Amino acid sequence: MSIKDFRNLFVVCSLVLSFFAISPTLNLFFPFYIEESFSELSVLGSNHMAKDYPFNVVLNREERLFVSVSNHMGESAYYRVCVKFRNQTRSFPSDKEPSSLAPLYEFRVFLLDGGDWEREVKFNFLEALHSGDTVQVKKLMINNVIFELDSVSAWDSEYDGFYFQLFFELWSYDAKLHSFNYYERGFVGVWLNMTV
Amino acid sequence: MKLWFKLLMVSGFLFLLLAVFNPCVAASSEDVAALVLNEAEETLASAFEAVKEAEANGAGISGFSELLKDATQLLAQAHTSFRVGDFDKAEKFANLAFEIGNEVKSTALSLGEIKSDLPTNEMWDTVIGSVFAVFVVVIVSLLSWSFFRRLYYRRKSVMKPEVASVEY
Repeated sequence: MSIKDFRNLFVVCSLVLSFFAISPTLNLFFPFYIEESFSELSVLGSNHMAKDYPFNVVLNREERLFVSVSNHMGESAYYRVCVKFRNQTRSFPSDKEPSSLAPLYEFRVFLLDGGDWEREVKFNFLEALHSGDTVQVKKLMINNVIFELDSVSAWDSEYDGFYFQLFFELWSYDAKLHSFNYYERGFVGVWLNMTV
Repeated sequence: MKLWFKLLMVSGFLFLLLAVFNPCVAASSEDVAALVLNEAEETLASAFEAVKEAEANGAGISGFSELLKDATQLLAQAHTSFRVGDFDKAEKFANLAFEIGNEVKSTALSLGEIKSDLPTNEMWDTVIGSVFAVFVVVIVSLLSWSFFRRLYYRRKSVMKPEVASVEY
């Protein structure tokens, strides 16, 4: 290698190092590193694991779940977690739209960026009627609050059971719109097979 | 006859009053709860907006975190109580949420104003840091290049075959 080649190598190395040195300033004016921002909604079973979810439920037996929210939005966020209950035929949330059902219970969460939140959800079916091939849930208690319901499920011959679903929707507050908006794909739920 | 008629009229009027105002009395606790709930909802939303603005201005907002968590939880309890028809509880929770929300909002607003020049300071820190780093890179590169060049020529001169003068 001649001295000219070495000189070029030094110049290139200096330029690369200078670019690294100036990159924080460049990022201020021309952002080239953008972190992916998202929120997380999850439901865990009674042992804080993604298993042991309640499935076969009976009257007057308390079941437990843990619902959690994580904020990776790059800024603080204000969330609303709606707890809803449905049978197989009632409205279920889609990726873009929430369920049209009114929430029973709800949580509100303020989270700093990178923050996590978790709450226990205890629920208990207090009153249900079995007649023929239908089960009608009339009273459900969630975290010691009793809700009067009228949710009927017909016998599912394919999966052998009377199925209901307890599900959670995540809504986040949009400061620009001054309202809560359904968070895209922000739903999780558990299927419950009711035995009366 | 006249007295009897007067009594009948007064009784009828009282009965009418009772019939008119009784539903209002019954509905008032629900209406009051709804009103307080709405106020608390708006206050918490604006408190969150103020905190977000303070955060965007570079202010430390971790101090608000616990307060806002408490307030939002109370508001959720108020909503749930309202939904099941427990309007007294709904009003109580909403009032508490409203108070905390108001406190957070006013503090966050003042903090946002005080710290509003922070991003400029941070920006200048970054720019000055970058300029300094580039300066260091250039100086170190020049020094190392001159050192390397000297070393290179010294090695080259050692390796150069000497031309000996031969006298015949």
